[in-house]
Amino acid sequence: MKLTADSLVLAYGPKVIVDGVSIRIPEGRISVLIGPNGSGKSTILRALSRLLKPQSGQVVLDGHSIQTMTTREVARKLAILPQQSTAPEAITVENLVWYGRHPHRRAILPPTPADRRAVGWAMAATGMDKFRARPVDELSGGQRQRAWISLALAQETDILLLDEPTTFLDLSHQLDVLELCAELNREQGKTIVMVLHDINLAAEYAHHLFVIRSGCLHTEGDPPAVLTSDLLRDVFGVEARVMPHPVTGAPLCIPLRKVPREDRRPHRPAVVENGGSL
Amino acid sequence: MAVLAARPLRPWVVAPTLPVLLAVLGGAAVVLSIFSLAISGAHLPLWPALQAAVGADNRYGPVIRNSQLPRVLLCWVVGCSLGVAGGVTQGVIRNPLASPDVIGVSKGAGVGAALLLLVLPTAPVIAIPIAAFSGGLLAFVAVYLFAYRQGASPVRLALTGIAVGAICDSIVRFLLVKWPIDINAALIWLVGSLYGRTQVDVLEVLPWMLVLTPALLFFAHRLDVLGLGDDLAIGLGEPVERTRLVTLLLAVSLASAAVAVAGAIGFVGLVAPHIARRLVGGQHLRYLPLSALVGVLLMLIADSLGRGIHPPLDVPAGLITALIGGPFFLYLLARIVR
Amino acid sequence: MASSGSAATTSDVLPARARYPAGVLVALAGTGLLLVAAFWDLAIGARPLSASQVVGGLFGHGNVLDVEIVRSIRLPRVLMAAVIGLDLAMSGVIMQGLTANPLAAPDIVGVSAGAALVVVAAATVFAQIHGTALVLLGFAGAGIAAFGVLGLAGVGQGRTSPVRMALAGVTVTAMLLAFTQALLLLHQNGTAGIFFWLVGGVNFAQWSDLLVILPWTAIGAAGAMLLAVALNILALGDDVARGVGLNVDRTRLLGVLCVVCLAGAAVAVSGPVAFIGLIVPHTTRRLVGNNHLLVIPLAGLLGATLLTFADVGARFVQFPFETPSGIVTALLGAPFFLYLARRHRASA
Repeated sequence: MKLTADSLVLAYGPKVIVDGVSIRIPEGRISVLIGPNGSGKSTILRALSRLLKPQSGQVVLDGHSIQTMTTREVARKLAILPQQSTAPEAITVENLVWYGRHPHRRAILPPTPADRRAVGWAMAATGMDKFRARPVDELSGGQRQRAWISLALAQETDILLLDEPTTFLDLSHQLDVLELCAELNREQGKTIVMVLHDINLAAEYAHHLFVIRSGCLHTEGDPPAVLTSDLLRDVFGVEARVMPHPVTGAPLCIPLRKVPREDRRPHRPAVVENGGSL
Repeated sequence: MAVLAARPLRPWVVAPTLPVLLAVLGGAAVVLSIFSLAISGAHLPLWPALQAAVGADNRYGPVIRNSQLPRVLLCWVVGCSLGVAGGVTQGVIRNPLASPDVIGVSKGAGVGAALLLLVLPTAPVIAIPIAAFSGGLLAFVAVYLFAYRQGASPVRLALTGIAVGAICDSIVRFLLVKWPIDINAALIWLVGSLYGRTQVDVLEVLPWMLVLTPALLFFAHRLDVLGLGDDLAIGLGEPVERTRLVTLLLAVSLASAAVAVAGAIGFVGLVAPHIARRLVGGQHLRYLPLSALVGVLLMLIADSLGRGIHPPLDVPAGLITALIGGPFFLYLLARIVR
Repeated sequence: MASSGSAATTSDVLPARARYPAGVLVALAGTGLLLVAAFWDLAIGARPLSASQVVGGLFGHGNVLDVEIVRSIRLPRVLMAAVIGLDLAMSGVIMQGLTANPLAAPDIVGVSAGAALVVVAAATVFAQIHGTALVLLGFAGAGIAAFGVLGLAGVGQGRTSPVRMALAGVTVTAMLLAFTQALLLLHQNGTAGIFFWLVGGVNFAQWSDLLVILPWTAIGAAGAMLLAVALNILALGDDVARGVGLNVDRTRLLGVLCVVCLAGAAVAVSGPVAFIGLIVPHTTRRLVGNNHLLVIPLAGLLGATLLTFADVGARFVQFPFETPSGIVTALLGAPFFLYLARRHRASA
């Protein structure tokens, strides 16, 4: 299942946020969009999941423009978990996960065995099956995020998009959610695309990084190639040391100080390594 | 089956299941309807009245058939329509304080009816429901168009609805001031009353209810999905904007039909869904039927009280629903402080 | 609540946003327009008067009938329009400041409807009520409605969303209106008269009414000015306001009392004139910024001007007959409300 974006121009009203970004999401891997606040990374994710209609350019899913497909067709191939979701009052975990079957079901018809299997599997995959009868309101932040991920899993899609899934979670719950994503990728071969704020966590879990800077794709590639002190200076405005993580070997950024704006390089450097610029 | 857990009212009360509740409330409504048949300005004995209602030919026959029975039937049709339309509106607007009135229905219908009653007092009586129905639908169309800006967000729908309602109010006031010939008739219509309604009126609304209520129940699952928020609902493959327009249009038509014959009866569409949701939880397929029954009960109570409270005077049902529903609404408002 | 230019977004409440030059300009223009409106309102009527007749009438020269018309019929009416306009506009500013909510206004939130209900109730029970008793009744109704709705809408427990306040307001208004209509229907004599009163207007204002309302207006306006700085601080949000040492609860209480004083008295005397409390504060803030020291007096001036013009406009509705001026403000104000609603950004 291929997901690509072709010279996207994205805007809220007259205000252009993203100007001409082309992206090819690597299949079966975890991709993470990083970038400073307001760079447009969440906006790109919204466009990839057809929540935002591009002003020009297109998103292509499995050979079809996502805007020409019905939203139900898209929902069978691609699941999106928006940034903040509120569950209906007093709903149980199991019933929340059942919503994930919506794109596969027909109005009034009773659920099929396939539906039941999918729901059961989605809860088992996230370890939420033991909480199935608990109201979502009573769960801890990390468990709640797992419940939402179960909902997206119940859609049984190859592609899973997550918009800042770790926001508002403490460190252990952040790791919890990211471990879950890694596991889903490893065991189910799911293509996962996330927006993350924490560069070190992104470096740890991503196979492929997209670095977004003021509405443009600045760099992409695998984390060790992308995350350099030059990049941190140019994109994030931070003087930093990058060294291999003593345990995992992933690049680890240690910020030292803020860089004055005029010292940053304004222009876009060439795409690094296995970058799939279209 | 994806079923929302019914939220227990109190820990020590076993949450009554939906069929039981439907049976209990339905039974209550039937009993109330029977007694309501005999409540009238002129005293009617209960038993002969009942016999007349089922077709026996005694001296109460004409009164029962031409005035009492149609009113009771209208209570059922109007209450059910308003209860369902209210529940759907609250679901789509995603705000428990919304109601069909809020998206312009009854105010628009008011303009339609007032135009006819005041400006063209010679128009045939049958034209009033038509004018009211078109008024309600037009007001909703205006609300939707004004609220539409890259989609009609629930918040903007609610606010523009209130604003369009205010415009309609101003127009009605203007009409009342400019053509003050029949102010009382217009006021009674604006409050909502079943006084003087006949078999013809019942037949006018019945088809709307019979078609639109099942149609809306058909959308119940989709309304649940809309409740998750636009982004997630789209992510789950729901064409949010279209579903919102279609369901609102159906709900508005249903409410407009009810308002067209009964006048701008308030608070039923606001309060009935709340009571239903507290009893069986927020899943639309479960609470919409219950909301319809609660609406019927409210209408029956209001209309019977209106007839019985101060005999020669027929207090408009809309006043009583407001008197009952208003304080209940205040109580709700105090509870849902977030 | 992110609509730019709404009641109070944190960025634009700083005292620096007072545009004093604009304020002076608005004050001059407002005064000029008010004089024009007042003069026009004096001249127009079943017996049209020329400019010289009006001036003559004011100073007691000329035709005795004209002098009588100008001095004892039209002048109190014009002054009343100005006073009521000022009252309602100021109370709108205070409410929007207190609630940080662009849709708070006495008539939207139900304050006017509450005052109207109590006044109508009293009028149906006791045939004739005049003067201060009427005003006190208006206070009672306005006070109960104001504290009730604001409390129920969650003011004081964080910012209320405009939607919530508006929905709560319309429904409470609908309920109070239903009560009022119930009273009218049970007392069927003179429905049309009370209905006219319910639309709101200054058509039959007399000098005695003016004397009744003036002290309350003075108290309310003075109180509003004293609260101006506190309102500026409150616009930063409750927590920040407390942090800089403002007694938030006392400010709210005093503010609501000012609203009750201004709006309650106005409604008791002239009926619930619609939308002045919504249109004027917004327009004023657009013109002169968000500093309440400037907004409160200028909103009062513009409110006076608007209602005086509305009173002129009302004469054209059914020419020789009287029409309540509230009709004109309602027809003007409702589209303005629509404009505010439409500007609301899609949040969520």
